[in-house]
Amino acid sequence: MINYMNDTTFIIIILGAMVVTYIPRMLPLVLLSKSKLPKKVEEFLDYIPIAILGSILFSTLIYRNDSIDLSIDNEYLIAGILTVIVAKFVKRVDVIVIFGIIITIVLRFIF
Amino acid sequence: MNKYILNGIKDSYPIVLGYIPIGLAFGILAASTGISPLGVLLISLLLFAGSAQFITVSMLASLASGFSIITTIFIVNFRHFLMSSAYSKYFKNDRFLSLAFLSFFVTDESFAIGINKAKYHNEEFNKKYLLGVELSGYFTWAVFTTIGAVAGNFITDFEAFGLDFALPAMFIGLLALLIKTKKDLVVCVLAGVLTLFLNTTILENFSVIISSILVSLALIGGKNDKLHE
Repeated sequence: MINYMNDTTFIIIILGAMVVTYIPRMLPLVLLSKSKLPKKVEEFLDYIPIAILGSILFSTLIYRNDSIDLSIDNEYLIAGILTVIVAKFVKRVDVIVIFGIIITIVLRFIF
Repeated sequence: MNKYILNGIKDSYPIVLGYIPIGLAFGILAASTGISPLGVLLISLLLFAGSAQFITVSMLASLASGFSIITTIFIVNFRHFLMSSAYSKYFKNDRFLSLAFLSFFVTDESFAIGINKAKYHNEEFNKKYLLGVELSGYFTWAVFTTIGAVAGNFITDFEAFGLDFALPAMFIGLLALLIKTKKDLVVCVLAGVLTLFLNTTILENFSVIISSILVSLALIGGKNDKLHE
């Protein structure tokens, strides 16, 4: 399966990575869904989706090749800004995704 | 097929589009470091985590120890802990086993779609819907990472199709639906900026989880005005 390591070692590493990935995915859902949470915790958890998605989005658009890239050459940033402008007016994910793909093709064609 | 599962599959199309170029890229990279197509399939089926898989492969290639690979993957994937927590209030009546199964497939992308549905179209949201979203991404990922490993040399300029922007665009579209108040907007921007800053520090692998927790904690309480459109 891999040419510089024996297959057993490879599989053990992947299984280990699977276990440490699965536990944080599983425990909160299984445990918290059965408990009554304090109001403050619920409010905290209500902000989490926007905070996580915002974090991932900013990172994807602006943190390119291991550094912050706010230049005009960053096509992800330009495509992102244009897509945000469209998203302000059109509240449909399908339209926004298609627009994002097309604008990326166009930007790559121009630059 | 069950209509909830079917709706989940339908709503997941940006994930499918976006996973194609990333999956191919992962397969190509993994094959170039000497991992066989079967090895790639195994990683995708067991880990099912985009950035963590890229890290795993590059660490394997640099002959990092198993311990350091597993520790790094734990840290990088720990953000799912928050997603799983945020899901919990929408699954009060489901059994342990179905939740344990459903949570195996939690990703940034299926979470983005699932939490939107849960929050604003709750009557259309349940475990079957989420399963549809999750599994369609899972199969796309398994298939296209393997294709990348098998046929990597024949696929050249797939960036030209712009499909790699499907996922960022999906995040923008879903955030636009999620952000309803001024405070929501502040949460999004603050968390984003803090993540960028943390990316430049030694805490890079923790950036998403630290900034999400700090910003959400900081904004508990206080007034919450509707955003004027």
